Amino acid sequence: MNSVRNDAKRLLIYTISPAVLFVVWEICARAGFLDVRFFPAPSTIFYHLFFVSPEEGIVTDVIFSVYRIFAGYFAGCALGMMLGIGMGLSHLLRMAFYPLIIVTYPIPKIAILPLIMLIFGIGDLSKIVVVAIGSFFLVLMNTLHGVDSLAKIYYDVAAVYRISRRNFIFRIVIPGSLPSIFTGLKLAIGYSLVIVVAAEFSGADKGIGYLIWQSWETFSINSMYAGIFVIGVLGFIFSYTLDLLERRLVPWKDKK
Amino acid sequence: MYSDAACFFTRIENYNPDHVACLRMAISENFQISCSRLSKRFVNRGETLTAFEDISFQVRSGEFVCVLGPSGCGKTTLLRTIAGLETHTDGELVVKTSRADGNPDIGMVFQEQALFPWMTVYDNLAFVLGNNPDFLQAEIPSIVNEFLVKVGLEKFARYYPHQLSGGMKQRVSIARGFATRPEILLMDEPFVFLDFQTRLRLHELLLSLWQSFQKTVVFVTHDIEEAVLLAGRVIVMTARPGKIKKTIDINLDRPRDIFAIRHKKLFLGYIQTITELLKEEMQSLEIE
Repeated sequence: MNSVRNDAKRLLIYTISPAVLFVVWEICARAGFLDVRFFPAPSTIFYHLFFVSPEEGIVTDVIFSVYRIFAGYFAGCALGMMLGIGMGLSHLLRMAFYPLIIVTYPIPKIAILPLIMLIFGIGDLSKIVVVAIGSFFLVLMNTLHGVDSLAKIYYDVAAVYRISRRNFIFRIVIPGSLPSIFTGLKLAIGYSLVIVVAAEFSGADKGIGYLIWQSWETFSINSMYAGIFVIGVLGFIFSYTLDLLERRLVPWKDKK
Repeated sequence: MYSDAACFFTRIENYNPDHVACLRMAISENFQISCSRLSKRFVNRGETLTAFEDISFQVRSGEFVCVLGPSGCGKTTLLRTIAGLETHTDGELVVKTSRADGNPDIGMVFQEQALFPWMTVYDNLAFVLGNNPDFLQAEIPSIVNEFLVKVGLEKFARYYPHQLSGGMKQRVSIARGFATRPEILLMDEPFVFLDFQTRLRLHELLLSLWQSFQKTVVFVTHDIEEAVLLAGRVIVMTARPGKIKKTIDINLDRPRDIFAIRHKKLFLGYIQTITELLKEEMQSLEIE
């Protein structure tokens, strides 16, 4: 009960700085300090978002983008975690995959989008695959780091008490790496948003990225801002959900 | 009594005829742990370092032995070798077990941070018990509770280690060490990071638990007072490379009162004797 109230309080505090920003922006726009052709007042944007954009199909765009993000994110994260734990525990797996990983990791994922579209077509699948690849690397690297930085004493305790392989992985390695895994999951969700919007700029007929690009082409500034604002809100929801999940699953970690 | 000698002894690395005597003694004298001319060398960047060499001693079943020595004398490495966490390079180590699978039955208490931070106090104990085929799942809760009561932490079963003080954490470690009812309990400077008062209370706790369970204990420390207070026998080691300098029997009555014992002439005498031994080692270090 107490923790639910704390969560609500935290959420309330989180809204303060964005609210201040909007108020300042509104004042500047109304006072004429900003050119409203490029920087329309927040009230104008919100009006557009809630009363005009739905008519233009923003809900469908959001649904498509979220679907692509979720499908890619979950697949990429699951694979990244599994391979990260595998590489952390098995020297053979590490030797086999590490060279490939460090070569492919720095390649901007958007740079391989044309290639992915060539292989998986121009539909949803190619976007999902790019999101998955981006998430995969971030989660993999952080999971591997988590397994590597497990204190050596846990291995000693496991050896002395002859902890079974299964228990060692599921009760020691995975929980012990969770703080690091969560760092990867949080980085990956933000990155997934970036990738999906960029992927939708070209070769999509639905999605938030498509909406923004379309608005730019038709000089529909308010729609563009509506799209940008929705991305921000999605980012906030995703990160906040992961924060909540982290505090539930990693209760032993020092809280901030 | 034991039909299968291979099951009776474990980890005999090589049957060197020189050490047959040691093995015979181990059988006849009911030794739980026998080391014979045990050595451990590391190779680090082409340089050979000796952790300890020529270590021979035996520990009888139910005995409390302290291994005392200056830091870097290889006493922790020796303990880890007995635990099976390291392998020795020379000599023989026999750890007796009555287990059918031939694995030595060992519990270990480490310096610190050896509890799993993602498990509650209860789960830290239940986990090692649940993993041990000697225990039925149904009896685990009562065993965990029994040992938490013994170390005075029954009210903290649902706490995570980071919510406990250093002394409480080591109480949990001790409870975990005893809970699996091992034949041998190895302790690696478990109280080194605790303040004096906390350490006193834990000495008292450890002595009373040892008194009631009669485990074979090998306790590594660099604290002379601690060693004399706890042990029936103190093995004093030399500075690196660690060898046995002297073994001193501590003929103090049990059960020991950790406060009254400090006034005894005999207790103070042991401390003086061992201090002199360590002083020699410190001087030899300075000459190097």
